[in-house]
Amino acid sequence: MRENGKAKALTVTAALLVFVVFAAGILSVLLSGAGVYQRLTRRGSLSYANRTAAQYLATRVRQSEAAPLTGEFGGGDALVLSQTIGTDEYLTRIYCYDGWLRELFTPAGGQFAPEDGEKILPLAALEIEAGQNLLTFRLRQEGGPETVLSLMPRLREGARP
Amino acid sequence: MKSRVSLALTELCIMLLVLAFAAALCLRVFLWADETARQNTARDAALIHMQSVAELLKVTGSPEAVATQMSGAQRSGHWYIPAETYEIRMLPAEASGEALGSVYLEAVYQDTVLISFPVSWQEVAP
Repeated sequence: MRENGKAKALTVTAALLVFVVFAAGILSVLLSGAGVYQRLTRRGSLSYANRTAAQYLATRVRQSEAAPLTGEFGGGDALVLSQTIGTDEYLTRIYCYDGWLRELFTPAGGQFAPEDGEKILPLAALEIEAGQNLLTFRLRQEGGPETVLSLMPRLREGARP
Repeated sequence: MKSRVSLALTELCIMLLVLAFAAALCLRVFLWADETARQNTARDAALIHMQSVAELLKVTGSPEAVATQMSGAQRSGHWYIPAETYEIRMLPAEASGEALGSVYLEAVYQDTVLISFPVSWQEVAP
């Protein structure tokens, strides 16, 4: 009778143990799946943000009528593109302020605050170096690696240097 | 009672086997997805890097100068620029037409070529 009871207890313990292994297995597969998904989306969104910001800057430099200039605006580096509409001169400043890549299109000589700029893309930092025939942009997303983009500005025929 | 517990134990053992099989399949897919995402991120970064290399080639007109500027080195007849997850190789190519020079750019990630394209440059801008 006692042996019967022992055997029953052993069987129940074994069933419980197998159940614990089963539960732990399900949990670990779910957790590893969630971890992979999280890494995947994080990498994807960082990559998208870097690529889009870099290509946006490249496109703006390529579209520029005059030679792109660099300056300071909002406490950081800014890309300054000038454009003449009619007889008036306008400036487009592209800069990073308050966690955003921003663009501000204004008449030349006007006084504007950095927060007036249109938010384009999230960006943590932007550094611009102007060398001989070469513009180098260093972009960084929050918690992401630095992306370096070098561009040789090309001027269209008849453009102002 | 005993037969009921034994039945439950057998059932759990079968479920455990099924779970082990499903988990193995899932883990394989997770690893594949992780690696693919890593490769895609490297491809994105490499493309921007290669664009910069191409621009620098046009400015300097020399793969050696670009490699020096971007902390690169020379290996078995070509210049390369290492990055965190990939490397960019500048393979010599024959310049044709009015081109002053030409190279074949390749982004390599763990022995896999992610992107490759030729770059030629003409007269260096004044």
